[in-house]
Amino acid sequence: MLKDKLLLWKFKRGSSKALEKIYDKYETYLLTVAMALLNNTEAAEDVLHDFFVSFVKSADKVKLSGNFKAYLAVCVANLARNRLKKMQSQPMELDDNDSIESATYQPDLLAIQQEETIMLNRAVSQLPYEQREVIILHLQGNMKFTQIAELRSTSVNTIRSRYRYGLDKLRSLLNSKVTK
Amino acid sequence: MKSLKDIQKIVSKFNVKPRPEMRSRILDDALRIQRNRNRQSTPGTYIWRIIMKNKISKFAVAAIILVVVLLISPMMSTQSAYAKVAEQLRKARTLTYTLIRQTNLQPDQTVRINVAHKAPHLLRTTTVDGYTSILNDAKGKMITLVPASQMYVTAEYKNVPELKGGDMFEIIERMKNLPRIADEQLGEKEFDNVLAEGYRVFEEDTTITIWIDKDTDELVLIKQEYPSSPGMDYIIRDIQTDVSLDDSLFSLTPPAGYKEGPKLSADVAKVTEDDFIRFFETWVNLSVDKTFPPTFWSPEFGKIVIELAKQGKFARPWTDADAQTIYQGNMFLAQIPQDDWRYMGQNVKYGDPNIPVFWYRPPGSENYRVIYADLSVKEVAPENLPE
Repeated sequence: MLKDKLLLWKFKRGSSKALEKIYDKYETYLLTVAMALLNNTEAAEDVLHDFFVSFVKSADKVKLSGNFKAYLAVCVANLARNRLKKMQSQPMELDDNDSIESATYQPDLLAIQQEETIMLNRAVSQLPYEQREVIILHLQGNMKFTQIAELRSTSVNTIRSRYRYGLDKLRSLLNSKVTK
Repeated sequence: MKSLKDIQKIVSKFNVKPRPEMRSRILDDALRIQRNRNRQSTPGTYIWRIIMKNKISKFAVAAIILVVVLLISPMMSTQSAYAKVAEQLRKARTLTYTLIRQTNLQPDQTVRINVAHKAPHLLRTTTVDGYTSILNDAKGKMITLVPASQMYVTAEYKNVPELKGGDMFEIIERMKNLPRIADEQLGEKEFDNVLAEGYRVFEEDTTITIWIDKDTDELVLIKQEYPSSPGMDYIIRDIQTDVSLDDSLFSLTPPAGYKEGPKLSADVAKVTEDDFIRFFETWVNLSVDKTFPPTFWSPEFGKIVIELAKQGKFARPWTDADAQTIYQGNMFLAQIPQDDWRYMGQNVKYGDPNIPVFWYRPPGSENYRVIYADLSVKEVAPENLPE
């Protein structure tokens, strides 16, 4: 946490080294968040690109009141949401030609791990966006329900419900795939 | 069958491996934008130029000239090899540092000056040989102590317009921002058990290197080099702020036993272009080959004057009257913003009415005044300014 604050402080003063460190530290995490929300490699990468560009452009305005990781997740989630609005006319179902596999070019990646990732991503993509977002922000972004509620201007109970329903559905989807 | 806890665990460990080429695509763009942004938002870091925008700084130049004058006369008579020059600077809350000026000349021409500022008007510079200049800007007075000859020189000035510019605190802050526009990252290096990160910036005719404490982000060292003048390096180190500085350190009373030397004075409101021209005239008459100074009002001035004296380029020792003329001429320049004048008389021989040696824009004027090598002056429109 302290390291993040120092990193951010250096970044705000224009340190390219700090920017690189932030990128390297959070690239995978942010891509995962974007990918989970958008379920589209190209769109997720574009969101990441847009995020880092706007992050640099508005470096002076970046104010961190809490967790840096959560802050980043929120930024990416917001961009993903906007992106999704633009893509509304397009189906968000997982396209086998543009699957998570295309984003997984690590040759040494274990097949099992890859399979599990694909399955999970496929399952997450079948959740309604609102549920997907809460699950990702809570479990990946370590955000509290109150924070997500505040972010999305809705009640904590609604957020809790989205999380619970989403998780139930996810369990059902994953279990059904396992048992098949 | 997976439980809810299992699902939570899977999702929280969910990880998408990025494509290798994604990093360069995104990061390169971000770094490029950051670099452009930094360049646009970071003010110039040219130390000397920044210093010169400050009123009190300008008198530091006068202090240099003063000390040079003091050094020239004994040098002219004894040709003894020594060198030093006192320097710098201005106001601050309290700020102390060591200013080192290295030259490409003899090793003993590395000048090390301890500088102390006390806000907002007091400045003290001390060389390792004990040459001390104390400046009280509130009183418009300066005293320089010359231990070698147990002599002191006083200088007074008044009616100096306040110029907008950076003080040393500002300079230090700007230096801290250098990583923004760094052209090179130098990695890590230890300075007196302090691990520091280095950055280098190439700017105009200057290369600036800074080392920043990795833990505290405080400046450890600043180095400024002039590629066009190899060996003329300035180093600022041992930077400390808010140290306790007793007022007695800034006393204008000379120590017991010191004899009085030249008394210089200038009322800037009364200093005119004529005084400035007399400065050139004095220089030309002092120089053996009747040429204009190779430089002035710059960090190199002291070094060059000493070198010229050593090479026998002055026809006679400088007198108190010469010192006063030089001082007065520089006081004139103190009124002109740094960007409103240019000197191009380097080593030009006196006499040609068609060769411009200096131009400046008087405050409030649209036109410029151009001084030629015969010391005649013409007013010209901006579009007709000599290159």
